[in-house]
Amino acid sequence: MESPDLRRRFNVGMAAWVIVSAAALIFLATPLTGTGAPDFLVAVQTQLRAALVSLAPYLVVGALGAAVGLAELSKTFSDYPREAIAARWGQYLIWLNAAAAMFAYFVARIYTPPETNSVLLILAVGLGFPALIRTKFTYAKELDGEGSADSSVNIGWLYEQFQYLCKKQIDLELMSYRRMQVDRLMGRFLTVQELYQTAVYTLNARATLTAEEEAARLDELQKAIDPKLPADLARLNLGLLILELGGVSYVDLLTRAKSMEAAAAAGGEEVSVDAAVKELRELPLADLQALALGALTAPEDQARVKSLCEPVPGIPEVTQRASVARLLADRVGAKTAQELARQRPSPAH
Amino acid sequence: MEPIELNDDQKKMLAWLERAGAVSPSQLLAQTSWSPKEAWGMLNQLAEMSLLVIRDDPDSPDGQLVIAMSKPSAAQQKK
Repeated sequence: MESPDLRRRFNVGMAAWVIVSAAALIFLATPLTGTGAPDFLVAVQTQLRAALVSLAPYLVVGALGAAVGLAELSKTFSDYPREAIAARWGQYLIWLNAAAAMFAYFVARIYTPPETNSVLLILAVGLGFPALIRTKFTYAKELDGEGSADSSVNIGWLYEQFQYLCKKQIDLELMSYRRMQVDRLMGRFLTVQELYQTAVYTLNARATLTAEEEAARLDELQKAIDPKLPADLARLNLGLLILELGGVSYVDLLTRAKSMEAAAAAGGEEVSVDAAVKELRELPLADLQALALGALTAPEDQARVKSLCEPVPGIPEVTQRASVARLLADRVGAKTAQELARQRPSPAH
Repeated sequence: MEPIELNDDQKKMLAWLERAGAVSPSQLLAQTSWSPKEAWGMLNQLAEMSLLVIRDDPDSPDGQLVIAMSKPSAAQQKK
């Protein structure tokens, strides 16, 4: 199952709330009587106004409860507040807080005298009820103050259990979301090299990290490129580190910039140095040496080509070929280097 | 831990690698003036001192990547 884009869900949800609320307010505030509006519209407006008057206390109390839920979510998931609010269990938490507060107001309204000031009751329930369901009453406290043998009634126990469940489920949903962001990054940054360079830049560009935080991130960076890890895992680790350091908006920026770069490259005839080197590298070393000596006439380049082609214990032949190819591409340009590679007969495989 | 003594060439190579970020060994051989034997020897010595990492990379033209172990940024060192 594909992971939902929580950022988009948040943005769309927020926009929908704003549009619907604004439309409802405009509709309710505009006087329709005597303007020639259809009768049914005037009747709907009148009924909606009446409903709003009687439901207003519940809406206010519910909004206060929801605000507490929102605050809890954004504090718990401070790196991904919008995503946590848009997550399915984040929504459950918000709606549960709103519904519980409205129910508490309903009960309070039944048991309080009719002449009770509504505003005071709304404030008392809207602010007091969220506090009450998170409260632990201690009626006998140990003298040494450790607290292990205190006698108490934990009214908030049930809510704590629900919070724990929500936190776990949101965390799982965010994990899938983070993986989706890392995959986007890996889809555009194909090599360990590119991801590493981006991670280093991101780390250096973060102005608010303390020296300890930067040291910890550097440590993570070095673990991510551990030679014992396969390249795919190294890429995943680097992608996750970039996401954690830069956030989702930064990943958006990077992937967008990379897409534009790719589109520009596809439209033009630009050849990357790596692509040219990889083509030249397929030639046998002797052919590559002859090609490079023919193309590079400067005496220091000629000497360098010869030096790179001499066998050295420990240096693999592919590294020798790639280094001559790289020198050639650097000197004559990637496009010319690629043309030179294509003029040579393909090696027999 | 005792500080590691590096000779001038090793310091220059580390500085070059820190500027370059992550490079293939072939890029280092092509873009520096050390002889391949010297450069290869220094790469291995620096890797043994854990000052750089040589790791497999299937996307690199020669299948390997050399990465200097990063130090805290200049901005952080000033803090």
